[in-house]
Amino acid sequence: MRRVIVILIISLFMITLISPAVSAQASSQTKTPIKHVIAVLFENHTFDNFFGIYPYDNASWNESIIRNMTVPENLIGTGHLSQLRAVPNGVYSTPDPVEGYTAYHLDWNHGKMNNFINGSGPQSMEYYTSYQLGLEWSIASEYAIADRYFAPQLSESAPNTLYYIAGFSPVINDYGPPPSFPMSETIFGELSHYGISWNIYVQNNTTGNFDNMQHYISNWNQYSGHLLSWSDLISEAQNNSLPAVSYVFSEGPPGFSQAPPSNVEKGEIWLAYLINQIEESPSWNSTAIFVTYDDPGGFYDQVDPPMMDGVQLGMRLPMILVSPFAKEDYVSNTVMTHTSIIAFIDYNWGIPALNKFVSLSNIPLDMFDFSMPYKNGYVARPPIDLQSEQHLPPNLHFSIDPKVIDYNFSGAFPFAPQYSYSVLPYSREGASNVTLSSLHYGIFIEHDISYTPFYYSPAYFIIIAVVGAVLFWIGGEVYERNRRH
Amino acid sequence: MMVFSIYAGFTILAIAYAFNIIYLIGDPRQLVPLLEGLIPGAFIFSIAGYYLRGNSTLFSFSIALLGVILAFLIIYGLHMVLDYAFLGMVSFLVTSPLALISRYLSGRFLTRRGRGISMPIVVSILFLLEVVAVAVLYEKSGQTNLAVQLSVLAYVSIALAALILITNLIGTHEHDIKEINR
Repeated sequence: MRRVIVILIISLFMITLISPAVSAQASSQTKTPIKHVIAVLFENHTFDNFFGIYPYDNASWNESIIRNMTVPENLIGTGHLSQLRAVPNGVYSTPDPVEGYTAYHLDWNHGKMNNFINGSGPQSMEYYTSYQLGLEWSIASEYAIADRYFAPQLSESAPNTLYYIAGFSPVINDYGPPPSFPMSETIFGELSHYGISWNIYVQNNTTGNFDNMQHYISNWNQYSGHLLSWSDLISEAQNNSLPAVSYVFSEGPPGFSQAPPSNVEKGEIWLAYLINQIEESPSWNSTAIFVTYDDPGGFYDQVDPPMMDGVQLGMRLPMILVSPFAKEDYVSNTVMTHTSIIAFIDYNWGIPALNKFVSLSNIPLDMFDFSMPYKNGYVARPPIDLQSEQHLPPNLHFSIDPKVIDYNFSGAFPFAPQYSYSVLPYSREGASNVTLSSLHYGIFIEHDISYTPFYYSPAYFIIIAVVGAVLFWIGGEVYERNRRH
Repeated sequence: MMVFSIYAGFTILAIAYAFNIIYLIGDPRQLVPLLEGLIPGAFIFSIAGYYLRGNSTLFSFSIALLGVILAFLIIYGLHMVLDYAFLGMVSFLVTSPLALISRYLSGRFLTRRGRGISMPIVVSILFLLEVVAVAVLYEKSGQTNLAVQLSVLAYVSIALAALILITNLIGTHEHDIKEINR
């Protein structure tokens, strides 16, 4: 018996010795305290469409907070505001502007940003306020928002979403596949290569669909086990078993994606619920949630997008960082695009830049504060209980009756700051120009290659058309000969 | 006429595919300026082909080729950024192969059966219905797999062309047997 007790004590001692070692090993695998990146993708809104007058609130009950908030590059005082219409209180959706490569190029008008009515149509000239987006604005003000985050392409969903997962696009608009490319050219392929866990989360994983992007990946079937449901994400967060990298797609037939003409409040509630679940989970202290939109959707934005590595970027998109390490009420002026999120993942796990475009993308490091505990010994910010702040639905699969206002967030903005702005040890606005290239991280895929099978190529179809013509001609000649006889 | 309409639809969609503008049919709002070019183009080029049936094939071939070349020059001259006016113009021009198809059809198969001017009109209507059907299917499928739809049209066109050829060859064979028996 005594021997058993001694063995048990020794075992417990050994376990105590080993556990910190394992923990230290795990933490040494990342450059920051972030162990979980969750990238959430909504659809079809520009920065000015959602945050054009942020943080000026027309339904505010607490103006003193708003007066002290950091103001991003918005529409106030620009003269553009008078050309636009505010979405009225009680209205949560607007007509869908014309989308696409052509429409967005017309909107852009070689950088003049003055042709939206002819390109995407008059429905592009609208902007939301805190009447609709009080909750989303509050999330942005509690954490960090970027005001120079651009769509990677002056085009619509497919090319932009392909940049979001692969840092390049073989298509310029919503068509295809073909072409397709192998999984190894995506961030998921790179993570698999380095043994870093990842999953993709959609509403219903049995349909095997994430914004139709899997069709572009030629060997997707080998990885389809990584496609899970939103409910799985919540369970994993609660069980502290989240993978290192999670890509969450808000798309779904009930319209959680906020893409017009769907109800923007529905996606907003969905986001708040998701964030709240993560904040209440044991994963919170090591998680960064990036929230952004796939493409501008044809809505007005005032900022002429720059070029990057010879690529003309598209209009500004909202991008919010929610994390215990996110700076409070911070506005990042760093020029970024979807590949900046990939760059952060590569940076954090110390792996090469996915491709050259990723290597040249600014990493959103200025939105974080990894430096020092700044309040009561907290290294990480404690969660904000959104559920008690606002009435949220019981799960992610809710519906909104358009005839009844179930949720009204017009008074939700602003939340009280978690920490008084005066005690924050950092500037609440700034930029950084750190890239993986400047850090000499190397490049994982030197040359992205896409593939179109010959039987789907334009040359093939033209040959078929010519062969058809020849067959018809011969048939006609034979017919004529028969007729004469 | 159905056979030639399917072939005409495939050929014109294949040209639009090669010019990288075919996906525009997936957007219901862009479908309007597209149809504003396609509808008059289909009727004008079909009827022109019908009236050119007595002329050299080279003439209608030149019209078809010129239309396609002009469409190409507009598309790439404007870096694929076509406002509605140019979109209508391009969609009008890409229907120009209908002149050649209609001319051939009129000269070989149909006018001798007394169908006259109704032939190019029916071919145009069937062609337009085919384009709308492809657009609806493309939109319903979430704007994916356009190449698959085009492949189906390609195989159907080739099969129908082969069927016409074989049918006429069998007719020739029967005619030869009758000649021998005589």
